[in-house]
Amino acid sequence: MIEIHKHQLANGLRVVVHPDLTTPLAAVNLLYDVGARDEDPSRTGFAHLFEHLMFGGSVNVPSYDDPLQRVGGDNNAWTSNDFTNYYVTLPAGNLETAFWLESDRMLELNFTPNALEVQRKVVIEEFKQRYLNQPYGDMPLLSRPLAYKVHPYRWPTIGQDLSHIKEATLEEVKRFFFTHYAPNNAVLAVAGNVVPDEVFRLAEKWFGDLPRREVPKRSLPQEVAQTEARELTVRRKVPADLIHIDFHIGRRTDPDFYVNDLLSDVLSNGPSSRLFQSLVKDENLFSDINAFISGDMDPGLFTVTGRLMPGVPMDKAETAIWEQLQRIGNEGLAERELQKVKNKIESNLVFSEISFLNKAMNMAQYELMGDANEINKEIDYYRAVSTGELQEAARQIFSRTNSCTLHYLSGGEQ
Amino acid sequence: MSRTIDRKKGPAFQALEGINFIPVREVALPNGIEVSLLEAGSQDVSKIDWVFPAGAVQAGKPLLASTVGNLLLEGTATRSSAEISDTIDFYGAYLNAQTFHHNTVVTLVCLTRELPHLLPLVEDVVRNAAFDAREVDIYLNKRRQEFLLESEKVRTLAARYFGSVIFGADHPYGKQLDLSHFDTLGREELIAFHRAAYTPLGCRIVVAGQPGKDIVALLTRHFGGSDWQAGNINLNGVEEGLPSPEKFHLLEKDGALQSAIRIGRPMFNNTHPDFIPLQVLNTILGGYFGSRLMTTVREEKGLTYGIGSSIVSYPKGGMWVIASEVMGEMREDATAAIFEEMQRLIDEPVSEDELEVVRNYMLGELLRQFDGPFSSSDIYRTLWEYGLDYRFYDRMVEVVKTIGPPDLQALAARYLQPGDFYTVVAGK
Repeated sequence: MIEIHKHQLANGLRVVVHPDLTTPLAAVNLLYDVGARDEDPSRTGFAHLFEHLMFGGSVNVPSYDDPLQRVGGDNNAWTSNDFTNYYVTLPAGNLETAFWLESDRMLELNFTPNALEVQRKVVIEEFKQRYLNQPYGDMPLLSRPLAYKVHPYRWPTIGQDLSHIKEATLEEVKRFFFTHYAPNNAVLAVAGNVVPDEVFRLAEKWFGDLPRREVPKRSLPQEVAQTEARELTVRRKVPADLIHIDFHIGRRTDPDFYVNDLLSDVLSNGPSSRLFQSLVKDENLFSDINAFISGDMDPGLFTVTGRLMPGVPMDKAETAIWEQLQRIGNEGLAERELQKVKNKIESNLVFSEISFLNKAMNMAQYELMGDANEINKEIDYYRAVSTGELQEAARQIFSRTNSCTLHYLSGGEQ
Repeated sequence: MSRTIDRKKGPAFQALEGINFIPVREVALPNGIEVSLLEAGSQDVSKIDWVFPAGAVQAGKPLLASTVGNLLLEGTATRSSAEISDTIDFYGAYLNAQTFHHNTVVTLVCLTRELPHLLPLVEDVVRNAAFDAREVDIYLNKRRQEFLLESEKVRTLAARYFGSVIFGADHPYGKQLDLSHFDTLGREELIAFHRAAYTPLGCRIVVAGQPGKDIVALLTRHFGGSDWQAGNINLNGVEEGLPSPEKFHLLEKDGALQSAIRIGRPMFNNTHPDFIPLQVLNTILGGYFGSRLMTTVREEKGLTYGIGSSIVSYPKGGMWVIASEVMGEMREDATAAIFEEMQRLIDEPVSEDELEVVRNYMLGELLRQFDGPFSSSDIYRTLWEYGLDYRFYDRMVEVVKTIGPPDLQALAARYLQPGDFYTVVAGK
C-alpha cells in the first residue's frame, strides 16, 4: 500500500507525492504526455531526439547536469511510444535543486544549432549501437510496420529511418517543444524522504508561474481490424533463426489488460512457464522463448518471440508455438497455475515497492492514465481474474487472422 | 502566483556528511559457516546469498564453474528440474546462481513469509544436485547458442579479448571461453567440482531485508548441520598476470558500423592505498555523465552514444578500463581524444570548481549505492572477499572530501601515462 498525496496547480500541472522515510534520498519524476506516437510521419524519432536536447541547458540555466551533480544528484530519461519521462534522484535535503532545474526546462529550452548538431550525431550512434550493429537489432523496424498500417506505432521510438533525424531543423525542434512541453501536459511525482506540503509549496514556487500552453487534442489514425494473417520473411547474418509473432490486443487502460498480462505470464513468466517448459526443456526446439504484452495507451500487441535451436525447421517450431497457444483456448488451465502467476505478480509488486524511484515513476504513470491511487487497487484487479477469462482471452487473441509473423532467418550476408 | 524568483541562481544546498551504514550482525552456524545479517527495510522481503568458493579460478578452466552453478537448479536426487522451478515460481521467488572469478553466489529473493517453504529447496539443490545427463545437454546446447549470439557483438569481442591482453591468455582472469570447451566438458567433472566446492568449507551466508526472528534457527536447520562434510577446494592460487607485449590489438569484423574500444592497463585491487584516491581521478576522467570523456567524445564531438571508465578490482589484481562503441570511420579520432584526455589530467591541475561537482556527485552516488538493505548487502559481501569492511567507505568519504588538485595531478602522472595503456578494438 503506497500512501499518496495529490495537488494540482492552477496551470494544470498535477503533483503526486509519496513519503518514504526509510531512505535519505528523494526521486523527482516528470512525465510528459508525449511520445513517438505524436510524431509527424516524416519526422519519426523526434520525441526521442528531443529527450536528448532536454539536457542541453534551458533558458536561465546553461547546464542541466552540472548543478544537479553539484548537489549529489543523478538523472536519466526515457522515451516510449506513449510517453517521455525524466527522473532525478538526489539527497532529500537538496530536493529544491531538482525543482529549479526541471521547472526551467519546462519554461523554455536553450535552443542552439550546435546542441542540435551534436545530439543529432549522438542519436545516430545510438541508432547504430542498438538497432543496426546488433544481431536482430533491426527487428522492431520490421515487425512494427507489419502489425500497424496507419497508427504511429508503426515506427519504433528511435525512428523509422536515420534520414528523419538527419533532416530535423531547429524550427521543428522549437515547434515540438511548445506543442507538447507544458505544465498541463505533465505529471510531477516525488517520492522519498519528503513532506507532502513542503513538496506542494516547492511546486507552487517553481512551477506555479509557468504558462499553461495550448496542447492540441490527440487524434491519431486507428487501425482497421486485421482480417487475414500477415507474414514477412527476411534473411540476415545472425547465428540462429528467430520467429516473432504479434497479435493485436487492447489498450493499457482497458479492463482486459490484467487478463492479458496474466495470460502472458502463464506462457512465459519464470522457468516453470508453459513455453519454456514445453518448447525449450521438453522438445528442445528453442534456445530461448518469451511472451509479453506491450501495455500501450492505444491498442497494443501480444508478442511471442523465440530463437530456434540449430537444425530445427521453422515450420516445426512455428507449429509447436501455435499448439501451445491454442491449448489454453481449447483446454483452459488449472486454478493452481493461475494462482502461481498471481503469486508472482504479488511478490513482484512488493519487491518494486522497495525502490522509491520505482514508486515515483509508477505514480506518475498512473496519474497520467487517470489516478495515481489506482496503484493500490492493481493487485485486486489481478486477483479477480478467473481461469475462464484467460481461456476466453486465449481464444480471442491467438487466431491466424489476428497474427503478424516475422521469420527472421540466419544465413544472410548482412 | 506572481512572486518573483531568481531562476538564474539555484537554491542553497547542503554538502553531505557521511553515510549511515546498516548495522551488520555476525553469527556462526554450528558447523562454522559465518552468517552476516543486514536487517532493515520497509518491506517483509528477504534476500539471502550463499557464497561458495566455486569460481572459475577454482575450476581451473572456462565453463565448468558456471555450468555447475546453473545446473544446481536443474534437478536433485529427489526433485526434478520442473518441480524445482514450479516451487520457486509458485512462491513468487527468484533463485539463481552467479559465477565470478573466485566464487559462485546462489541468491534467493522472496517474501519473508515463504522462507520456510523455500529454504528446504535451497538446501536440496546446493547439496544434492544431480547433474542429470539430459539436463546437462540441454543446458550446454542453450549456452552454446548464447555464446554464438554474444560473439556477434563487437562490445563482447572487445571485452573478452581485453582480459587476455591485460592478464595473459593463460591467466585465470584472461582465459577466454571458446567453442572447444563445450565439446570437452563432461558430466563427471561437474559432479566432482560440485562435491569439492559446495560444502561448508569457505561457504558464507549474507542475509538482507526483514528476514524475521527465526532466520538463524532456519538457517541452522538447513545449512548448519555437522552431517554436511567439508570439501577439499583450493582457496588460493592465482599468479601474477602477464600482459601482452603488444600495446595495440585490432579484431576486424566485417560489416561493423561501430567499433568497440577498450583502453586500459593492469592495476592493483582495492586493498592498495592509492585505490580510493584513484576513484576520484577515474570519476573525473570517465566515471559519470559529466566526465571529461563523456563531455569530449559524446557531448562535443558526437562520436559515441556512451563512454565510461572504471577501475575493476579482483582478489588478486585489477585493471583500469575505458569502454565505448564509436562511429566506425571515426575510431582513430575517438582513440586519440581518449588519450588526449588522459594527458590533460597529467598536464593541468583539475579546477576547484570541477572538483566540487565531482566530490558532491560521488558522495550522492555513495548514498544511492547504500540505499536499502539489498544493495548494502551486495557491497558488504564484496568487501568481505577482500578482507575489508565498511571502514573502506568511511575512508572513501574522507578522501572524496579532502583530496586536492595537486594530489590528483600527481596520481595522473603516476598512473595515466599513455604509454602504459593497451588498446583493443573490435570492428574496424
